[in-house]
Amino acid sequence: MIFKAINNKEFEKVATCYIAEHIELKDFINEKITEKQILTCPTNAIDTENREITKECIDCGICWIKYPSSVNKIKGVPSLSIFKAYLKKDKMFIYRWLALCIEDLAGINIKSKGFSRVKRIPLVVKTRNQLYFVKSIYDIADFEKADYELDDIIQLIQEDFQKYQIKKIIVVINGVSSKMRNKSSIITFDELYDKIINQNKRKIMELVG
Amino acid sequence: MSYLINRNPSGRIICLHSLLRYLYNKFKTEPFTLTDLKYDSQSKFNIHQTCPLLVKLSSISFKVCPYLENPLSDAKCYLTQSVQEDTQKSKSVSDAFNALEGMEFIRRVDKGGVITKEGIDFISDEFESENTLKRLQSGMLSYGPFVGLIHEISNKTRDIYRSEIELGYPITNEKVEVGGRKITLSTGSQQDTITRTRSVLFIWATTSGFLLPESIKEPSNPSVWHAEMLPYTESKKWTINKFNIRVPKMLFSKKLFVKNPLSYNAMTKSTKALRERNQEEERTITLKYEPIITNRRFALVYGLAKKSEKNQTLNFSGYLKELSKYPELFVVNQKDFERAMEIELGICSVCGIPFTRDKFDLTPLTLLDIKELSSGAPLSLIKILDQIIMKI
Repeated sequence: MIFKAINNKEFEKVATCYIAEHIELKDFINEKITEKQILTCPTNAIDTENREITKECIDCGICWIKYPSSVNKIKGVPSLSIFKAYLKKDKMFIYRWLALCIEDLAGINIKSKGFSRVKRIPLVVKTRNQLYFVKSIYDIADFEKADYELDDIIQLIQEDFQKYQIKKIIVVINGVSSKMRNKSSIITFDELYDKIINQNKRKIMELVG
Repeated sequence: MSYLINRNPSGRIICLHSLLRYLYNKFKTEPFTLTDLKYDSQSKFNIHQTCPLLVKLSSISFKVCPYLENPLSDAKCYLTQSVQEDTQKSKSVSDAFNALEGMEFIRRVDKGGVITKEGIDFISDEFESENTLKRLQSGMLSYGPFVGLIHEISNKTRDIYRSEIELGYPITNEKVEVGGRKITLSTGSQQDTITRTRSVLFIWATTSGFLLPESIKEPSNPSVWHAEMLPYTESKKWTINKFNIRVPKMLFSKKLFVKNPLSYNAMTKSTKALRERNQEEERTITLKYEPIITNRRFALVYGLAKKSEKNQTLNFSGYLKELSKYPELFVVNQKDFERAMEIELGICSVCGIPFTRDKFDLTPLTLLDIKELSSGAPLSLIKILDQIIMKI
């Protein structure tokens, strides 16, 4: 465990944070966003009464990134295997994690135009004139499917958002190295974690190049 | 008027118990609407006051529903969602309503419901009491689809896997020619719906002592089976797939009276759900033929139920021959009628009237409340069916 609570009055605030989710892509792009309050910690490892981070912590670092004055990062090896085991149980958490860790405008479960039903983009990140659509897979073998799904979504919406260049990012949880394929940026979870937590990189551009 | 339930939250009987307690606190025996079931932060009464499952997390000062993906969500309750936030667009609360109605704990009136005497009895004791189990078993065995499930599992002679049971609207794969193209009618349940219905009814059966999940300890006191089973039924996910059958051998030796079979309007799935890619044409054609599908499924269940009242068998081939004389009511395609109806027979079990078969003679194993079954059915249709049934 590499995160530790700082015993101050502010610590109570660490319990919750805000995220943009379940909103229309159009609203997200136009920044008409009402953020929802959520628990900061996915494993309920923040004990506000005793002002401590408990052993349930999976080292995701959200609390540290959101509340640097209340949480310290200490020297040590992060429990990446525990984090990954958690992702095995709840793959969707990777989107929440990324959305909360980066400094660009990010939203999860963003609704976009579908054929008959609304489609949902797991994670969208917006910079000045670029949109990043992010999807995660456990194994590189699932790349094609994820890539097609993103293509499908992009095909349906690109006419409406011509001003933006849309980029596809696929995060491979059990991947070995990052690369480009079919115009998609492939980045491994390990590399993302290293850049965000160890190298303090918080811009999507810095993360995916 | 009963409908097929298919949402996981309705599987937790303890949640339904809390919901009914809240409804009784607020409405006593006065009518309530579907929206009244939802948590309302503006109301003096809400389900959190009667829910024993709320959890206190170390990071926040108030208790929350343990099943919500976001415990801080304004939805507040996984079973009902809330007036302020309902990501399920009322589907969850509607399913909870159907579950309570199916077990006879509430009765439908106009656009809402009222609590029945059985409902009041059910909530008069604590959930863990012996009485609750008796009332639960009696309630569940008045719900047609549950009876269908219990009959199917009682036929097995060994442990069963959940996947062995198919419980949903029959899939006939009938094709209709439109402009030279053959379009398949979408009248059967999709696999995800079958899975959800099965999952809920399996957890009901586990709660009420008809199934024991593999690797779960046998309750030490079977008279409070439902209470001892709580650690499993309360869990967020029900992952056990293999079950030991505990259905009493004599359960179907006498005819059970099923008070809440699926009614006429519930004989087909909601075609509002048919809106996937390239389904527009399929949807239009299915909607066109939906009255026929409803009529013919109703005809099968009604025929068996009527014969059951007289302790008679239903001659299937004779019945089909008579039904086929009314193509505008019962037939999609004459050439394919017999094959389709063979498959449609599956609706009988789902409605709560399983049967045994000897060539063409079908022997019904339960009695249905004909009034409930016929609720919503056109009188002219019932008249025609009565004439046919008298004849064969």
